[in-house]
Amino acid sequence: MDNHRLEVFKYIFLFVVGIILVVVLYRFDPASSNIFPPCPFHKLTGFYCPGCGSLRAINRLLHGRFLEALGLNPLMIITLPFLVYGLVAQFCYSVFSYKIAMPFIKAVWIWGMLSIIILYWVARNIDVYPFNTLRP
Amino acid sequence: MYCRDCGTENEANTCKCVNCGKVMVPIVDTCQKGDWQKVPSRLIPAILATLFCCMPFGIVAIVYAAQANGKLTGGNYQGAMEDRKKATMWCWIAFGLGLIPAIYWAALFFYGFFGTTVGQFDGQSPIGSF
Repeated sequence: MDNHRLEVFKYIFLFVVGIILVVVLYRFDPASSNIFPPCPFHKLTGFYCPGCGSLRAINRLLHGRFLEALGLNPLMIITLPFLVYGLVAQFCYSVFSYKIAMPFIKAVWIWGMLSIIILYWVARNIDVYPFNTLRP
Repeated sequence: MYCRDCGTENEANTCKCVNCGKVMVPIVDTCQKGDWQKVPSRLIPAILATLFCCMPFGIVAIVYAAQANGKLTGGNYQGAMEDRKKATMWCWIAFGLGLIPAIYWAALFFYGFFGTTVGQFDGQSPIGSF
């Protein structure tokens, strides 16, 4: 099997895994079900990480409760459309060799995103009014 | 020119990459056109790792993705490829370390499910979840 075929199989495998995860997330609520593992960072340190609340937020989103999802992890919900677009573009390119337009992201923007993530991480752990709304 | 997918150096005007067989796209052209798809980037998996694996290693991957894109803009393709490989590596580390507690949790869960307490399936999680 050549490398390109292997690549296609890899992406199809990841796609199937993704679909299974979405179905499981739809069926079971991570807030009340114990089939999902706890966040290792939160369990070890007691602090919230930038990803805390992501699974619960996706569960709410799949059930159409957008505002509840936004309340659990706002940064993840805002980033999600871009991530999905990027993943779909990558999938189409790797599997079907079909090109979807993707802008080249300048380094400055990535550094900006990184600072936003780190500020978000810190802000979530400050237990004062405007910041503690960011907690899951 | 370098393959946008695996980073292998190919001769100029190669049609398909000698390593992975993907159709080659000249990176020099690409940067001028500003088309992300022809430019290697590990930004999406890096952000995914940060927002879903909740491991600080995703942050390291984002740093390398930023450096790679910075070097591409400056025309340093070799350096960009090296940074991209490092970003890929840190993505795997983040996903791998995210998987360990998941596997541990699955083991505990199946032990509880088939072992002592069968009615645990949809019960309250004692420590909360992601």
